[in-house]
Amino acid sequence: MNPSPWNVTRILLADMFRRNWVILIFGFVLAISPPALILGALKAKGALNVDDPAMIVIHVTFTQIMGMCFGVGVLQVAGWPSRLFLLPLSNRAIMLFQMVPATVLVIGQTILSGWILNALFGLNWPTLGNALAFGMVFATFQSFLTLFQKSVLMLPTLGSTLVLEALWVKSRHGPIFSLPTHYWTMVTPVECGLIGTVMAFCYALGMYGITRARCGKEIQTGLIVYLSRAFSNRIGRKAKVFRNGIEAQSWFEWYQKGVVFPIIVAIIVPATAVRWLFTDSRFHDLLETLQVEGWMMSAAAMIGGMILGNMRTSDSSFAMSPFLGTKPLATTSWSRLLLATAFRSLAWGILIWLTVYLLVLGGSELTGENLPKKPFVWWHFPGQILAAWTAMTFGLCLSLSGKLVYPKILGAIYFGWLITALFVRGLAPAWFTDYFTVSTLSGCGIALFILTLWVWGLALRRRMVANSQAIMACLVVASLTAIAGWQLAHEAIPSEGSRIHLFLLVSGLLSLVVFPFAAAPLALASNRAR
Amino acid sequence: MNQPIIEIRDLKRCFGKKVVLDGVSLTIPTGGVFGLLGGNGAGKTTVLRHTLGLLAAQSGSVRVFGLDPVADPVRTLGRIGYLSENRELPEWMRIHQLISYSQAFYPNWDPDYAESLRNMFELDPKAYVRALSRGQRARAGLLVALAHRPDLLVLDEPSSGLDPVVRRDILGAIIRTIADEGRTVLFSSHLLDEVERVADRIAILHHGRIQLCVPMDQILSSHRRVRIRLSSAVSRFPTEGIWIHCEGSGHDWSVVAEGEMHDIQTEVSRLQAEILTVEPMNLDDIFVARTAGKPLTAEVRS
Repeated sequence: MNPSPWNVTRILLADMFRRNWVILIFGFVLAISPPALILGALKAKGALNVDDPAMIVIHVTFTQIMGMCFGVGVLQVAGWPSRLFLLPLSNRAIMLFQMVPATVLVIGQTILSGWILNALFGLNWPTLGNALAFGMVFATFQSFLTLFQKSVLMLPTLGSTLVLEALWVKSRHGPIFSLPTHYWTMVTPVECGLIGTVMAFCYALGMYGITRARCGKEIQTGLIVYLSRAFSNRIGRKAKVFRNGIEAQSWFEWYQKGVVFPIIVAIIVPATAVRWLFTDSRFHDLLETLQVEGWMMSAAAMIGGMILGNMRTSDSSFAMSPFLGTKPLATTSWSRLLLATAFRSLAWGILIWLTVYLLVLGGSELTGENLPKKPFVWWHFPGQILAAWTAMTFGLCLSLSGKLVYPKILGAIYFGWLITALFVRGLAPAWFTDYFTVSTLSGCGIALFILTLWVWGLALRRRMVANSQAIMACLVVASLTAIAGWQLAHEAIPSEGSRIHLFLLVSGLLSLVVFPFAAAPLALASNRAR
Repeated sequence: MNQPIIEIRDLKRCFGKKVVLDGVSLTIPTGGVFGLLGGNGAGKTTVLRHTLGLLAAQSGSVRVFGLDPVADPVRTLGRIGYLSENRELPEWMRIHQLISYSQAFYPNWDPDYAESLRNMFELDPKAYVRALSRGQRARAGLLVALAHRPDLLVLDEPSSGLDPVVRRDILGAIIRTIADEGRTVLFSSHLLDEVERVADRIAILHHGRIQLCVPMDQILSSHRRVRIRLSSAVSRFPTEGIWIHCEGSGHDWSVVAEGEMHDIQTEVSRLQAEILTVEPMNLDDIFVARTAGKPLTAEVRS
């Protein structure tokens, strides 16, 4: 092998793509699927008007969502530059290897996704400006990661830089303090020059970071580190005394993993409010956004649940570490403790969200601004809580099993369904599209119901749950299903057929509310003694 | 013999297509120090993980204190102290948090003993686990494993990462103290001088099978290196009988024999050879003879 830096870089790149092409493809499909599904649904209902000004907001939002989803995958593929420090590569080559392919991938993904959506839905969305801008944002992200690594300085510096860049990108779509008013159709040479300059600056910053990190010179964070250590020393100075193992393990689960979900909510909800300040600043819109976020909380809850169920002490392979596995705790007690931690985590997250929601509601009352025309439907709030609980505990059970194969199977099912759905929606006749929708939604509901029944049966046979608990679970599911059935019967839904498949889907989803009480001890037992 | 503290019967374990344990049977008596020896990948850690209930037996059975550790983790693990091979401890904890957290699980936790161990191991109570060196982590893990005075102490490669002073003086002393108190230590290692120093009984695990399971003094007294001269030159040494390993060619051979001296003399006479020298062997040489290369005898000796 020719050991020149360029040759080494070429070999590393080839190796990176060979090992991670699945992540890249999966990230691409995952990124484009929500916009494709939403736009497809709008088109199917004849509600897709490409000339509607609201499409500009949708365009900007979807571009960001797609870029972020794919960007996470690219970051995973690119990895930390420290793995290259012992190779015969110059700092320049390492930074180039780290930054250029990843940025090109992100730019390429934004352009390609735009083309695909344009072709599928006749949107005429411009792609170049946002693609270059997203490349710039990604390069900024990478350079700050490289420079500050795990330093506490990263959050304020990266955050403020990204805010500045986001404001500039927003200014390309209209005034900064309003909703976007037009597409960014023409990219001027000056804009290209500015983006290029920022990217070059990011490259230099990353180079400086690598130069420091390669010889072990950490970024000194001075006062912030001092304050953080002083605070940490203060709260951790006294040893907590636990009465028993359950109490000690509850403390462990909460402080290591349970707090993650409330922290995610505490970051996202205020960030929404800040973002809102730079749009139209009307309480009406913020309330609607927070209502949507109430449903989106389920996604964060699933991530929080997967983190909570990860029984590894240091990494994320999900397999239980011997340190935890050798604790003399009964598996059933431990699983109940984990569910209690999930509940606590969820309660804190919802409390944060609800507090902000009520503050905004109060603000709208004080300013005398009219409330949304469609008031908050009664079942939305309990529905959001149940959805978040279901997502969190489902994620908890997935990772608690310690087997990566389950998330992979679910991912493959979702992937297969998505491709089929897009194919059917685009090519099949209308009657088949309806049939496909009804059968997949009904099938999904029935499958979830059967899964819950099977898990409870297994847990009963292994005596991990009591008969009284099973009866209670049946009553809960029956009550929830009855309420959902009543609500669906009174919703304005066009045909009887639609009601039945929706009822089946909702019943299946509601059965997942009790799923974790049986699945968590089974998953923990299989992870503990593999 | 004392009531066995661990009884493993015909234990088999595969990871995918790889057979890691192939019918392991092992009985460990209560009291004393039991050393589990084997090369890399021999299956030592897998055996230990079965005794802790971290792996369920695919075939065969495992009993610890007469109980199934998978079915009854509370009653078995509450009496076991364990130090894992890779020293996994929660990085975010401080030493004093680790101690108070661990204390909560064991009613027999001895706070004075824990404090004396912490002083002996020179661990700062305010230090974070993530800031500890590998050796310091091993000490912290050892502290947590010892402070509840377990009936069974399971140590997976306990010396790994410890400096020679700690390894020889502290670890050796702790292991001996526990054994002298009538409790049991089961440890795996490939540092054979250390095993020879502290173990009362050993088992050699090779390719997922128990090759040998005997008291330490017996293994040392029953193995000898014999240099012999054959009356006629041979290209391949006869493999039957007491010989377990051979090196040499033609007339002169250096062989490792297992048996009493008169058995060796009988075998040498049968071969029409003469003994040149007979040397005692240490555990290191015996281990190499039994596990390195292709063994002369395929059968399991236990």
